Amino acid sequence: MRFLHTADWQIGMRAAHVGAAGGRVREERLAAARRAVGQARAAGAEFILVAGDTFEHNGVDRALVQKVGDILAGFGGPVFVIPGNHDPLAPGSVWEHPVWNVSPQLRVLRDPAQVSVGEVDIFPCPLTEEHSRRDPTAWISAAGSGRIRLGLAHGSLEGIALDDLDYPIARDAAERGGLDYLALGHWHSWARFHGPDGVPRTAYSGTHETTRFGERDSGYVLLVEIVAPGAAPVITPLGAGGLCWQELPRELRAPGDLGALRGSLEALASPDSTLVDVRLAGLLFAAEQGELARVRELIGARFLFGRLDESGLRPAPEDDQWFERLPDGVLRETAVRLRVLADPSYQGPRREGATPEVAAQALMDLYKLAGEVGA
Amino acid sequence: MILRSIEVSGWRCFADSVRVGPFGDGITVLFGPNGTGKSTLFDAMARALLDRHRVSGADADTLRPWGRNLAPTVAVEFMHEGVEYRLEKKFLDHPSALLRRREAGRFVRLDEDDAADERVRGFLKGEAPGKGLAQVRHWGLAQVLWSPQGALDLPELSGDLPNDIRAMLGAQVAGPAGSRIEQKIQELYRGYYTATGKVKSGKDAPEAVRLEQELEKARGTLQEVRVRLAQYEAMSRKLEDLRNARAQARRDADAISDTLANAARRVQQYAALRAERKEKAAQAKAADAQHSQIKQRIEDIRKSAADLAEAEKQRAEIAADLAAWERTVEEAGQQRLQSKARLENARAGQAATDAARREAELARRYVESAGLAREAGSRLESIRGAEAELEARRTERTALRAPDPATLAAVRQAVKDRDEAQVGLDAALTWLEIVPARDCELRVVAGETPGPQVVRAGSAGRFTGSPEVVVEVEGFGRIRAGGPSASAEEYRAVRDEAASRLARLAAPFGTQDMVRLEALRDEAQRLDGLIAEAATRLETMLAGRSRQALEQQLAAHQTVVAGVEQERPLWAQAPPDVAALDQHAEAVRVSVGDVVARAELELAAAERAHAAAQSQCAGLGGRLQEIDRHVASSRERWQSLAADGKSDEQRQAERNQRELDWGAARAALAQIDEKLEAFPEDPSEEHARLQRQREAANQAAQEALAEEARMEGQLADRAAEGPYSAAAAAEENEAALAAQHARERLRMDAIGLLRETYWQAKEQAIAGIVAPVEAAATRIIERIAGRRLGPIRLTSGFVPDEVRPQVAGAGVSLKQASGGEREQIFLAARLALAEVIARRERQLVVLDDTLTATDAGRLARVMRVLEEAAQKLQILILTCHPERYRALEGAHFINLEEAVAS
Repeated sequence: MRFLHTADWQIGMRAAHVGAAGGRVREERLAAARRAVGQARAAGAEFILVAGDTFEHNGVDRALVQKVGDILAGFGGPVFVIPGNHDPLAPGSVWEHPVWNVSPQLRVLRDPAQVSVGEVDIFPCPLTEEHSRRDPTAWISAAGSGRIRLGLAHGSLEGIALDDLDYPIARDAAERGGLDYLALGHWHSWARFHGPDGVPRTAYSGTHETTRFGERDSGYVLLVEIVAPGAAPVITPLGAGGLCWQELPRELRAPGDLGALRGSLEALASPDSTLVDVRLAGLLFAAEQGELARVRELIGARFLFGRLDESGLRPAPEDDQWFERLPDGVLRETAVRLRVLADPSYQGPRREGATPEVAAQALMDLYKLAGEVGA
Repeated sequence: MILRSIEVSGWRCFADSVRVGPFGDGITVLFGPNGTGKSTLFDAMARALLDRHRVSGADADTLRPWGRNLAPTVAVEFMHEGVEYRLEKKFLDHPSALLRRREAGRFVRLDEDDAADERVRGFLKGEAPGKGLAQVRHWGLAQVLWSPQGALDLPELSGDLPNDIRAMLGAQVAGPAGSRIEQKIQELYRGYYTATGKVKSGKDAPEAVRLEQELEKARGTLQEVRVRLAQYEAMSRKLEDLRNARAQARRDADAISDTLANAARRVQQYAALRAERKEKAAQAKAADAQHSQIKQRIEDIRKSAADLAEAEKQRAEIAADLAAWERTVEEAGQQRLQSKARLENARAGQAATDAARREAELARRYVESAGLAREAGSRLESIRGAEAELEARRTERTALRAPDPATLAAVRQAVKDRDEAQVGLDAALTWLEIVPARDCELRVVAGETPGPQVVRAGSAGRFTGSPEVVVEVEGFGRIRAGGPSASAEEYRAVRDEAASRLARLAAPFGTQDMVRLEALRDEAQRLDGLIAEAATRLETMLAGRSRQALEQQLAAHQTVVAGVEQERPLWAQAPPDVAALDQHAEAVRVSVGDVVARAELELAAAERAHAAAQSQCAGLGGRLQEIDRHVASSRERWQSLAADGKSDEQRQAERNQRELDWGAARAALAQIDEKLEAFPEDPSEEHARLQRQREAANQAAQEALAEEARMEGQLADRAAEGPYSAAAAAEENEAALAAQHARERLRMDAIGLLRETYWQAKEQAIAGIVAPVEAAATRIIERIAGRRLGPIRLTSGFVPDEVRPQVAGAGVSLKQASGGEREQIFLAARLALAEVIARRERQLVVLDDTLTATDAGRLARVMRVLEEAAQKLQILILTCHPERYRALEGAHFINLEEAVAS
């Protein structure tokens, strides 16, 4: 018996951190959902389990609800969905949309009550509010039935993360409930957890499409195969995500570092679906100004989204060549003063707004002007 | 550069060729009446040196002579950096320019046309003008050195001149490259900020401002959609609450219905019990009444019999008491009579007490009267002595004739008047004194003592008279002596009147001697004192009473004494002892008084006992009558109660039966009450309350249902809006704009900071450069106008900005200076700057029709300043008032009118 385990589609998710690319990021989450359903079909999955947070919020656009319902119904087989803490079963929720009543195959499990499909019993744990300290799986009885028993829940597995105690789920919930597999949602990275017998009966599928920079092991769905009651589940992660979230922190230490960075950026495949976050720190040499401009242009124009943080850059203290080229007198004095203000460790007086970042930019501007007039 | 000569033709008023020069190195005053072409000549020189030879346009056409179509031409010979040049330019028609340099004593071609323009303009560091004529701002160094007609004010120095001046002062502020960077900074800055340093607004607003506005708008939108999202979430919670509330209301209504059914059953039970209790209570009440009735009758008969017995018993006791008290009354009466007899006997001893008292009183009166009589007799004796002494003094005083103080004062005044009149008389008289050598006879013809007189030899014969003294001396003749004109007769009359008055006043006293008179007066005063003393003593003795009264008092005392001595003759020999008699009388009084007091007390006690016994008898008599009446009424009541014909035993049996009946009724009632106590309150009230609660619960459930339906509709509408998606889109838009704005803002702030930092550095650098020029200008103005105006302050562009008079304490704008002082300040600044420019070589300074507002005194000082300046500068003064500059030493004067004529 095979089924697809997925969760945390977070459809309608806001993506303010990527600015204007937010719309595209949302679109990609729907596209990834289509890919996940297609993979279930292709892998011969008998049904799909969606372990909560299908939607980012109950207040998402109803057109998105319709689209998600259509995508899931398009599987053609049974699909079991539980509300998560982002889309709990509450008045006015997405689960009141008529799309959930169109196909008998598409079932929103609204009560913690066993349902059966074929040779499998499913124990769903729907959520009705955003936050709670109760274990949603606590109701599952260990009474054996001789059938494959699957748990479908949304929450935080205890003992893994200390800072997320919403809907805590006992680490031994699968064993305690006599489950062959406990399909979990809530965490965005896919992970499986072994029981005392060394068998992985608990797993998070993670989100099917990465939601932000730095989110590891995301963009997957899990294909699970259980040959018989009590047999060890075979868990196979399948890539579903379409976006590449690339973080590129760089500490510039020597001339040429920026060139290397530019090379890395140019080597990134599929820039149209890639989001890059470049954070520069360290020393900016005068001769590197042009390279920095090219990097800036590359990041701004080539990728789906690009962010360049130059606030960590400082003019190289030993790089006084262009200072020397400045006419002696006012201009050089101006450069010296700006360099002092650009130093974050400077404790002297500053006029309002003369932050190190502004002073560094002013110094760069002066450098640029000096270059233009050939000083 | 200095000027050597200038030659023009076809130039405004100079249609024909005119050459002026040569000019010396020092001061040249070029003068002539208005309209002779002084300023035209200056204009031609400036255009030759600074304008393009190919200048065109309407303005350039004005260079032609009026009404003539001549091509303006000008030739200027000058020296620059020790080299002599000749520049020839022709404008408008076939324009040309030719620069020649003196080499080996002759001018050799150096540059032509544009090259010539460019080279000469470079000498003055001028800027190439545009299409038209060059303006002052294109003049380079000449902006400072040359003052066009009447325009001594310095304009804002343009081009690189300020930097050139700074360079000449040895300071590098920016340099050419620096100026270009500064210009670019300024251009960038002006893209963001206004001239006053504010961020531009309106159509010229920088991108950051536009983005800020968009960002503000986006934030407003975001706030709105967030509110709608919050409303959606609140509606969802509200709907959940409503559903919970409705379910609870339904559960409440169901629970109340069950309770209500139970309550209805309890109401029925309660009503039945209440009815039964009412019946049993009536039965118990009737049994109680019958029992109480028989019980009361038995008790009344018992009480009535007891009351009668008690009354009869009391009557017997009172009758016995009354008999005893009647005997007590009789005995007390006898006791009272006996006490009364004893009191009368005691009171009989009172006469002895009175006799002893009278004897003592008589003795006291006798002794007192005898004493008073003696005292009065002694006092009268003294009074008589005093009266005799007073009379004697008065007689003595009467006999003494002495003046009183007023008379004595009048006498003293008469003596004074007389003596003063005598002195006046003596002074008014003429006197003649003759001392003959031998005895001689003479006759007073006129004088006080007329007639013959004999004056012995050697003695002085003195003769007085008034108004003259005439003495006839035998054998000698008459001697007449005259004197003062005062009237001796008036003095004599006064003297005589005073003497008469004195005689009259002193006559009673027998003397006119003042000493004697005053002695008499002193004696009189002494006697008056003695009289007063005696009178006082007498009055003291009388103590306000008359001697007759005292004599009558004495007689009264003596009468008393005589009367008592008649009764008690022995007291005349031996006066009685009053104290002993008083003591005896007191002893008798005390003895008799004790007996009487005891008898009186005894009588009073007997009378009280008698009265008390009588009162008791009267009270007991009354009570006996009263108890008799009570006995009669009690007997009557007892007879009435016992008239039912039953015995006490029969009545008690009846009572016992009634008591049993009443007990049974009460037991039945208690059983019902016990059942009723299971109901804490009337269950019908609870039933009614439950009914109301059920109705309220039903109502709440209905209302919750209606509200739920309404809220579901609202929530569905709000959910259909996709409020979260709207918020997400708005947040993303806001974040994108915020990032964009931050970038633009950073750029704008950076340019602002760059410009501000540059300007601060520049200001500080310039402040140190301008100072020496300010000091030089200040020295010049102090020489012209004194220290009144204080230091001159220049802008960073070397233009005079203000003066700082010491009295003002702060800077004063030049607009506030007078016209004369203003032109003197600008002259000082121009000369100070010219000295800087002329450090490397002598420079031409032109003053065209300037200093017109300067008074003669200050103009003289200006002359000295110009003379000194001429050591480094070539100064060309154009004026129509050459006489104002005649005092200039070494100045070369050129009459333009004559030059034109020649």
